[in-house]
Amino acid sequence: MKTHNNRVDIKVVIVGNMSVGKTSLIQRFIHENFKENMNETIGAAFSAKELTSMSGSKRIVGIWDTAGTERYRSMVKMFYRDAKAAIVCFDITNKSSWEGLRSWISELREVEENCKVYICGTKKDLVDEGISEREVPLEKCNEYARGIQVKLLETSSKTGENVDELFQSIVDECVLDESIIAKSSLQLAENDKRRMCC
Amino acid sequence: MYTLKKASLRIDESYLKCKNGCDYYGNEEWGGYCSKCHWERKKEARLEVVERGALKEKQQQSPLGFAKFEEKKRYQSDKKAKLLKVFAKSPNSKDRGKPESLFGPETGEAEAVHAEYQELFSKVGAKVETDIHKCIRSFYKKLLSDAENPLTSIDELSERAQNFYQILTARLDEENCYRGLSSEEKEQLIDYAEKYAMTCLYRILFCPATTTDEDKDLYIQKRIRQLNWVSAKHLDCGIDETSTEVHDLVYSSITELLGMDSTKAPQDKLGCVMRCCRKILHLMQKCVGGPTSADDFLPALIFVVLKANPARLKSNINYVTRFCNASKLMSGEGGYYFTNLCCAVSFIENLTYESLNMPEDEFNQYMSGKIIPSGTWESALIMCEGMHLINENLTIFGDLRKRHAAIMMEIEALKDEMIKFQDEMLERVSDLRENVPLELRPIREPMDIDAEDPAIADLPPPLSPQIVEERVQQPRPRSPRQDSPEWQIPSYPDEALVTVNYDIDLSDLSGGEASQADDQPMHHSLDTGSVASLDLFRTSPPPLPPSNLSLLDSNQISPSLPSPIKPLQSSSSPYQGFSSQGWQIPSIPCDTGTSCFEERSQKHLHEQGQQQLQHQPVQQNNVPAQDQENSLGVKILGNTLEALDSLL
Repeated sequence: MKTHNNRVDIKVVIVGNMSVGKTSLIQRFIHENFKENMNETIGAAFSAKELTSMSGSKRIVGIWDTAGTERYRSMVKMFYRDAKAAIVCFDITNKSSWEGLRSWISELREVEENCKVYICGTKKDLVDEGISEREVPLEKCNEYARGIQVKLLETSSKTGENVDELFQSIVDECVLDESIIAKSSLQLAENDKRRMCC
Repeated sequence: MYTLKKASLRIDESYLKCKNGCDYYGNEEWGGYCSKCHWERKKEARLEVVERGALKEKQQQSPLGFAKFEEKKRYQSDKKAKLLKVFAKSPNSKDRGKPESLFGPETGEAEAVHAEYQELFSKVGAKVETDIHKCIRSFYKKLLSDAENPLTSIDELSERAQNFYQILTARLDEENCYRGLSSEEKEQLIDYAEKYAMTCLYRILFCPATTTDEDKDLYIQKRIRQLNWVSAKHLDCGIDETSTEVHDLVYSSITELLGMDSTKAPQDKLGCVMRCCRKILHLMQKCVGGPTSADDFLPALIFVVLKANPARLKSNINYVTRFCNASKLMSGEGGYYFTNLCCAVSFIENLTYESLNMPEDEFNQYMSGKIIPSGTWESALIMCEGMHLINENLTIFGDLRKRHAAIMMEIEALKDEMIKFQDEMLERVSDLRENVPLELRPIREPMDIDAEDPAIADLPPPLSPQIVEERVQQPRPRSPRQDSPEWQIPSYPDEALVTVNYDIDLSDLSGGEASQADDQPMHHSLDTGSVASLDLFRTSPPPLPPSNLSLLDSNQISPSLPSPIKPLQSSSSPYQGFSSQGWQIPSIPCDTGTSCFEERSQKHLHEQGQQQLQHQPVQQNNVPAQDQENSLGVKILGNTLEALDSLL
């Protein structure tokens, strides 16, 4: 993991209210474990992992954790710069976290236009195992996500459900974007040439 | 990036609009104007400055010119060698009319940077090195000329630098000479270019006069000093202020952060931030007991920045933001930490009573220095410092005590050993004294001679008489009563010893009856020499030792003694002959030998007896008594010899 720290291809920012499980999500993705043996690693604040996209090309994903505490809220937008994707987290067993979601997304859209937004409903295992009650209905989430045209996934950092899928889809889309940009810039260059000739 | 962090959510939007009334947002940093209006205003201001500066320069031209000239000269003399090295690859660049003093001070450091990457260049080859230096030099010249123009803002320079990085990256991918390099090497090359160029340009680009960086530095420094009462608790930061381990980590992270100002290249500054942040992550992991999330990390970083109060913080941040390779700053680990540092600085700048969750009055009182919270980091630090020192000293003392005790024990052991050694030595000396009394030394001498005897004993006993006969027969006809030729024989290594031997023989024979000794002359002669026989003499009644002593006496006195003694010595001749010429008679039967010997010895003894009778009175006063005793001793000796013989 250390070797990836210097070069990062895709910057992903994780935002969301406090204690929605941002750090656990990163922990699950990077080290494939949950709280039980978290002591082994330091610094889940920044981490990087290499992923292979659908098309077979490898990309190093750098994940930036952000502070969800209200008092540092105003600073979080500094992290958005040049982010290829942002995962906005909310706790499906906590209604207030869902309400905070909108402000995060609007802020993101405002600051970093080109940043792809993913909504992540965390702590799915609590609902599945019946420990806590779902406060945010899935239909409502889907409706909202469709409305603002973002992808929504419900994950569980404890079981690892949908975590890898979430990051995999980010890498796939980013690689797809890259090729589109490359193509368009190529076309532009050709157009320029033509113009130059004339 | 730093433009973003200036924006504050807590400020009303209308306040944020440009002062000029255009629809764009204004910025505090730009005096409340939007970027467009700000640049226009700035350009005007700068033009004014230039005009004024030109006027001033005219007025002060001569002194300034001279100072410059002197400076130039100094650099030329000091750094000529180094400069030559640097310019060796492009001799044209030397005479471009550019002041060398600009390049001069950084030359040494640039060399150091080059030396740092020596390994890389040895790998990629000279062609690549030349090309990359060409790029750096052209960029350097361009930027230098741009910087000289007061109309170029620092942001334009920053843009140039970023362009340079991008162009260089593209060049590394396209140029022929870079083909075949790994992406890692390319990255290192870009890194090198950045480091080299920025080290050379540091003086111009860091905290330039055209910006307000310096004012901001002073402001933030003052602000942090005002906020020195803020504790970890105020920031909701989980730093455990009582643990010494955490303390040490806080200290070392502060040190790393302070080191940022002393480095020149942007990536080095970034490296300082990275090391500082890694230490903070480490210490937060210790405090929290799990992986550090951004929620733990950011407050801790703010806390460290507040306690460190780094010099020229804002200048450093701006310098890195402007001139560090953007691709590195935006996505890597260093970028993450740097962003966090910017957040921390922004938080400190915009810190209000709300951000610390405390009443406004209290906050204001703290800020004005009216109250000082008792539990501040500083006081805790001072207390802990003392405790820390005490603890440290105590451990040192404990260690010393242990070592002292060990030394004392060793000393005791050494003392015991010395006493033991002394006792042992004394005991051994006394033992030696008892075992080897000094008085016996002179008596021992004959014993040394005895040591030779065993060699003689190896000879077959019956043979020896023959020798004696032969030997004796020869001198007899010539000089029966003469002092003997043997007396003069030089072949004997030690005459004295030989005579001693004979004396013993003689005393035995002369003292006792010849018949007793006659039976086994060989044995007899041998035995007299042996220790046993001597012991016998010694243990035998007191008169005997005198006879031994007499031997010594005879040795000593012999030269001054009158003639009667001489036969004594002459009598030694038969034995001498025997011992020295024993090898000559291998085949003569034993009987003849013994008979011969008997005859001879009897005759000889008779003579000797007479001689001794004459001689002894002169030599010893108690001759008759001694004679008797001697005869007694010889009798005993004879008996023992017989017993020994039978045993043999």
